[in-house]
Amino acid sequence: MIPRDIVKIVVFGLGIVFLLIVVYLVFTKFVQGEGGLLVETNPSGARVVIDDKDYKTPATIGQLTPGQHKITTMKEGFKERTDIVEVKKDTTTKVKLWLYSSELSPSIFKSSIAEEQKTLTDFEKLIQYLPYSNLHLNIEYLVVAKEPSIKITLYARLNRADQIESYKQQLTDYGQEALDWIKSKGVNTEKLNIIWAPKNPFKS
Amino acid sequence: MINKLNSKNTIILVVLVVILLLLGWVFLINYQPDSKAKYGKLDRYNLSSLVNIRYLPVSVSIKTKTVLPKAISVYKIDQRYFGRAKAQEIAQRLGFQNEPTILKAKDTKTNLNWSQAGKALNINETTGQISYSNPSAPISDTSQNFLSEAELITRTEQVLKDFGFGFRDLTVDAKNIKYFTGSGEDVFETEDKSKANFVELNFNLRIAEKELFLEQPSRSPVQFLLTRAGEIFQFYYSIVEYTSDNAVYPVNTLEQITPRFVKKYGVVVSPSTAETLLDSKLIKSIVVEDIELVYVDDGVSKYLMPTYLLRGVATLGQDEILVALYVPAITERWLK
Repeated sequence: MIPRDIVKIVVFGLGIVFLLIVVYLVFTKFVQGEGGLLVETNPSGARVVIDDKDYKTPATIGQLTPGQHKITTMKEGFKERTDIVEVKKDTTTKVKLWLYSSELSPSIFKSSIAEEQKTLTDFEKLIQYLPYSNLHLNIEYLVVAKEPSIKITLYARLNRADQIESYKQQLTDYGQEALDWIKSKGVNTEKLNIIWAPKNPFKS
Repeated sequence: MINKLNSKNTIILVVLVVILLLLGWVFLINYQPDSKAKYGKLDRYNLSSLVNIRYLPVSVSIKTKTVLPKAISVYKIDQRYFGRAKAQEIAQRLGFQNEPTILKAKDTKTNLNWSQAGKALNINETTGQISYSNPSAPISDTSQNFLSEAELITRTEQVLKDFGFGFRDLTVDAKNIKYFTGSGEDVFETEDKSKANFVELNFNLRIAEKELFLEQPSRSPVQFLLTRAGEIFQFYYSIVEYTSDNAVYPVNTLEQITPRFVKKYGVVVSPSTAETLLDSKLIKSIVVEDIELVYVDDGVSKYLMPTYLLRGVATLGQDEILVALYVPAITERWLK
């Protein structure tokens, strides 16, 4: 016959142990947290395996434990690749993986260039048309302090002091003409680093 | 006493045999077939590139564990140019009745140029490269069907045979038959076959399971651009006759293809156009992710040069682009 007190102590002890386990799990989960991954591949539509789960790129994967994870990427016609990525707590880490064709021939270099052209940056879109000039302006591409830039030179005329107002108006008109021309090439002017000569007519 | 000496001698003999076996084993492990490099030291190839990373502040890293071979066969080129008589014959087959204009460039490349009724043919007597274009070829109505791909292949193979170019190992790239629209010099690729005016067929060359690339890797050694009716609109040929006789040379190991090595000898070959590459000064880093062993013909070498084709990602400003580089595969010791 087991005394009642002993049973109580054992039950109490087990309860404490259970509680400690729950607290530990909740605490570690809270401390460890979760992270996510945004996996992009070029070309897209690849199968990605992370922690034995399948996804298709581009894939946003949440609820991953922080730390290193193995990613295996597969696509028909391309070499399989395995990468180790670091998942950070409370952050969605972007991972861009390039896939390399398994068959090597000159054709793949043609297609890879075509693939790049589909995702041209604003600079790349524009540079094909530069330099451009007309009677009012000149637009050219240059690198300033290692940063790609677009230089817009406006040919407004100022011969006499009384022409200052019309000069300012010409600068604004020609500046707008330059921006419109850039926009006509499908380029967002706000994404470009523009150097104006003379100074930016849209800033007082 | 005698027994003792005998047992000592036996031990010494066994030790010597073991040492000899070990030395033999070490030799076999480190054996590189240098002795077979019968062509002696090879000339380095001379490839040009829009991007010379050697002089640019570009960081290079190698992130691949590709297993590379220890040696490769080098094939000697028998002849680059097929001779004036054959050049004349090719010109006649393409409908040129007149004599060629002979241009001798500074770099001693002699070009034979034919021009007649809008058609142009150029044959380079140094490299053996042929380029033909017929921008005035009648462009068929888009209602006329293209010849079937099988018919196109047969037709182009027959053209090569007629020119006397039935070269071994040359195979049509049947998976990558492409369609183009436009006219004259402005021809653009299209995925819509119904709007296309031209079809492109490429022939590639594989030598001992390794692909042959030209200086510009996106260019197949033999290219045909044909109209819907199967007439040649453009034709390019750059195949040299190489010997079946070859010599085995040691190649660089993965450990030898260091970032420093790539910086020093790497030639960026793709993207090859300034439009896609922007300004090479913007390249900040190149991460090599894939290495393949191929042959490269630069148009002047005496050999088909074994070359490592490196593929990777270049950081260009804020963007990333795919790049390909050539680096020499033959060990430095066997290059002049």
